[in-house]
Amino acid sequence: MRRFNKETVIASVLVFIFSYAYYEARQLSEMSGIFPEVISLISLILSILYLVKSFWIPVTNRPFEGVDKEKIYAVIGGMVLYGIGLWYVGFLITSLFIVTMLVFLLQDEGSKKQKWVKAGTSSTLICGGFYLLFRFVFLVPLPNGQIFYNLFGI
Amino acid sequence: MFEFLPQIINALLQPINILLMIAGVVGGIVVGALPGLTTTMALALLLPFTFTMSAETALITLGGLYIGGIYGGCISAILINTPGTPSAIATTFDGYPLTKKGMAEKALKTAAISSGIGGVLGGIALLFLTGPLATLALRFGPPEYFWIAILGLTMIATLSSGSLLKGLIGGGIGLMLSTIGLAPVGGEARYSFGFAPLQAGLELIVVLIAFFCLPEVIGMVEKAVSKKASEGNENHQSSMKSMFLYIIKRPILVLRSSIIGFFTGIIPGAGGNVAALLSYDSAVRFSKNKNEFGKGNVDGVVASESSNNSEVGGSLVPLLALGIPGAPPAAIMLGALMIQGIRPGPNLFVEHGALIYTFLISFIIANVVMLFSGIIGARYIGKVLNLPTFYLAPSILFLTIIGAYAIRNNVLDVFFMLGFGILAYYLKKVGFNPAPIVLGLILGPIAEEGLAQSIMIGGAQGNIWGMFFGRPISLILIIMCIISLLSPLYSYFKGTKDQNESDSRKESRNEAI
Repeated sequence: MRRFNKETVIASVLVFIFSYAYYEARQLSEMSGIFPEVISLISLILSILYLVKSFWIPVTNRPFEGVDKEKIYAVIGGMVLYGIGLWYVGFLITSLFIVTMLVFLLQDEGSKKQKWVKAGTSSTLICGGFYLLFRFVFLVPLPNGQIFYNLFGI
Repeated sequence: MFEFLPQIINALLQPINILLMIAGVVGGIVVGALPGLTTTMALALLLPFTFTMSAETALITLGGLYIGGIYGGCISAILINTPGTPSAIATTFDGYPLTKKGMAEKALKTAAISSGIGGVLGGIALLFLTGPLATLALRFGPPEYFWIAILGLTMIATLSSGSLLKGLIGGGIGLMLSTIGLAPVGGEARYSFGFAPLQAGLELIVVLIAFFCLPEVIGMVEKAVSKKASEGNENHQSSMKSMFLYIIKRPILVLRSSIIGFFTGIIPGAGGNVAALLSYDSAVRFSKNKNEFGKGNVDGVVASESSNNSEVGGSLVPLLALGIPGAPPAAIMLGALMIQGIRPGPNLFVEHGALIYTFLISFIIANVVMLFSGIIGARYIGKVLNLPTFYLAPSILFLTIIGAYAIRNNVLDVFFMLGFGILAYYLKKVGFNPAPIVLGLILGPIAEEGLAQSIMIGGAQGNIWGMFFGRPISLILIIMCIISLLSPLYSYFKGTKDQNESDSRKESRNEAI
């Protein structure tokens, strides 16, 4: 039997989630609950099989091997900041900031000045162009942000 | 139809109609290519502009936009693994791997040609078979919808690259995600944790973007970031002639996919995504090279694209013959017809014959226009991937954000998209393919509605089992489900038997030596 591994953790999480889903589905009326009940039960059985299998079958692949973790964190961090910024300071400012930062951080070659120029120019073109397209052609009201709403009512 | 020929020719040769048809197709392609902007939304935006147009000009323009929009979805599906429209979901399975091999232009040209052929076939079927086939749409009740969804779910085996168990669990995750929100029949809130926005459920396109696009964006920057997305692979050029010949030499594939697409379109509510998935599945099952699918097999793109464009024609069958829109964009077309004072139904071809035949023939021509627009555009659109990754990844991230937001103008959708995207990246890394998860999410609501309604109707009639197993179309679908489930087993045992025979032949040869 293999030791506790990454697959075991994932399988355990899945067993927990589907157990909870099954329990919740059982609380619902027949018509609302029948489908999630059946699906969660089947998925629970499959997850238990996966859990059992994870003890016996050796894990051969190392999913994050050779990955540049710093850049991954930069992109994931950028995503999280993007969501928060979108809510508070609005679409245009957040997009300009995040796209500029990401283009700057993801470049490997060139001086800092060159990197900033490339980042600034590209983000202005991309964000500005699409902002105009969505705002004025497709009439999508992009978010202005809570700060501007609270300060100026817009 | 032939008695209206002079009027039809006259209308189709009007410069304004030609111009607006081309503009509609090109506009549709642009909208379809942008994640988050749906064909339905584009049609709704265009609708007020058609008020002042003549009826035939309005229908020609809207038809062009509809066709272009469905095709346009494949562009982002092929280039950045994000279906621009849900109809293009199956195109990502082989379209994006082709891009990763440096064959984006080839994939785009294939998509354009097969979309054009599928669209024309769908248009011809629409022109000649609308009346007789419309009655078929009415025979589809809740149990048939349920079995259609189950048939689609049998595809999980096809889509599970690597581990079947993980594929099945992925399908379960997708089906469970589809149950979030108000129950379609019971009306109770499920898995919303008292959070009101969750009661509306998860937006399909948001989850599509999250599961298909964000893991790719993160994956792009995993290694050497300054490399171009297509670097390291030969940039394959392929002529239109060679691609056209390739597709023409596979008439059964194109015809089968177009027929599946057209018939799925006839069933109200089934949609282009279901059509494309069923066609893709059949392409895999009937192929001799099953293992090549999902790794950049051109046939996968052909099956998906010819099917989803043929579905456009199918979705107009119940609309024109019965006044029932087969898909959300067809509902907008219904609005356009009614604004022009035309009420679709059995008498439509009698009361407005010239107008409807003009529309149907313009529909076929618009598909040809789309084919050429797609081929010309492919040469230039494919070059987008020559951008360095440090430009490409943030730009795609930006597009995903704007796309997720634009669907419902809701910031929460962006949060969901980002959350699911990060989760999808991790799941992909540990071997959970996103395709079965998304398949479950698409087919879940169809299956659930069919199941719950069938139980209710069957219960009222005192025969629930008869409701599921006693109807002719249901029986056909059940047989198809069984075949679909057994065929991988047959292939497996056949493969094992062939392998054993080959081994024994080798052994006997060795002994002889």
